[in-house]
Amino acid sequence: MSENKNNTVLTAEEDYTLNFVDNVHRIGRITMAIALVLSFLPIAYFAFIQGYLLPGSTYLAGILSISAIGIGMWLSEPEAYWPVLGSAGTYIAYLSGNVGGMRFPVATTVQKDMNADITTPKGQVVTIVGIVASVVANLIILLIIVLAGDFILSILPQVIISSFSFVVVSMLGAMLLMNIQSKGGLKGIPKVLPYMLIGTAAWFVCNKVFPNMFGWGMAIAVGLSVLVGYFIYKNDLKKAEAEAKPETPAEE
Amino acid sequence: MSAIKSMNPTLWIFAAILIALVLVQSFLFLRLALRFNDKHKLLKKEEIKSAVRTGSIAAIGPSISSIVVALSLIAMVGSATTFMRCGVIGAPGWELLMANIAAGTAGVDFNSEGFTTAVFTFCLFCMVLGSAPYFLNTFIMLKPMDKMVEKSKKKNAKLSFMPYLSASAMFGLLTYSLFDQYKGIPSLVALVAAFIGYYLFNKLAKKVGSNLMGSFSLAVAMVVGMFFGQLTSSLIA
Repeated sequence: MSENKNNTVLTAEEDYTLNFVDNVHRIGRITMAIALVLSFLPIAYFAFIQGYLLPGSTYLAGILSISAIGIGMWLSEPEAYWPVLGSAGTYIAYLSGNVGGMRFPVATTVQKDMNADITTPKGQVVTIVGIVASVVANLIILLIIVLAGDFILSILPQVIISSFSFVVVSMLGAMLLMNIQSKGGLKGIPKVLPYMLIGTAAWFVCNKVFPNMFGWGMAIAVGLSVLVGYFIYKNDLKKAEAEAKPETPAEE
Repeated sequence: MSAIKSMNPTLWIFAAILIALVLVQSFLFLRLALRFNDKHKLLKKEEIKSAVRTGSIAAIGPSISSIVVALSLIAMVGSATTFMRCGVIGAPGWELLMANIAAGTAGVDFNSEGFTTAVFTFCLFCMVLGSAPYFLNTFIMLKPMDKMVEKSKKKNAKLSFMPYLSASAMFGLLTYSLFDQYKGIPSLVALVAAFIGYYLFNKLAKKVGSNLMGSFSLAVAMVVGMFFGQLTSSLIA
């Protein structure tokens, strides 16, 4: 890659738009394509080279039932996490897994710590650093569990083992507070309340009213929230423009 | 079980290759981010360190919490497959579901005579299929989405839509996930306890002015939530 000679005069914002984003997608797309091939490789090896085959009809039945469960999530989940994780974060998260329970909280925490939104270059950098650290930590712990899991389980008391079922909900509680604080605390609640109500409604509709829509719930929650956010934005923009007319600087 | 035993060593090789890919990808993104940071001085060394700490500490709780499911998965499909599937894309719960569907479709029980090498291969196929479409999704969708955002950034200088986008998506997603995790009163107690625990610990960290403490806030909130959630569930039972 020859260095762009204009690079020295680019601001972080410009460099981000012109170079960084493209680099992210180049790395992301290439690694995801390789991952797709590599993950089917052991199956190809066992089925075609070793000849461990079941009838095609069994495979067809498996494909159908897994597609029925997965399709909603396959189509919509990465898009739902993307506004929080950013593109690089989403690529890493969907290759390494544990998106909702690990990458999502990590991304939120580091962004709030540094007070940097994911749409800024600073937010992108800090999110990548945080998520990569979580990937390495997770792999190390996972390897220990796989190799010494039975032993670990035998020394942990039952109470501690069952208390782990509260990990994710506790994390989400802390994240909720974190986000409310970053929107100005109690004063900020009216601003974000519409989105929380949409999230609530989407969950009830997709889990209680139409239970077989659960795969789409998250996408509906995020999609509707962003749509409403867009209307609120349009409204605020109108106000800001009206205020800006008599030569006063527009405020947020 | 003999099928798994005979295939397990080979599977470790495939697992190692896949995990290597995960690490390579992480390394490439990290290098990109750090080089960009060096050029534009966005974050101080200390801030990078703090992000690394936060990321690794936040991974501990969820990693350990998956131990029970991961172990049942090992009993069903062996250690190599568990490592491969939980280290790449899958989460233990999802992989467990996929493995069960596979066995059900093949009409075979785990740990039975009928669980042959061919059934195990089919089982692997189902687990891979359960998350492979995500690769395609991100491959196709993320770039156009970024382009859309960049376009909208240019249009309105007066007021940016970006803060609205991230706030609306975040709160919609967070509320939805919270309901998804609601499993009776103990989980509600855990939620509230974590909420309060995070608030108090964070306040304390700010007062002391310690960055190190700050990166533990999430972990502390988790432990507080786990403690009160488990306490409530023990009291109820």
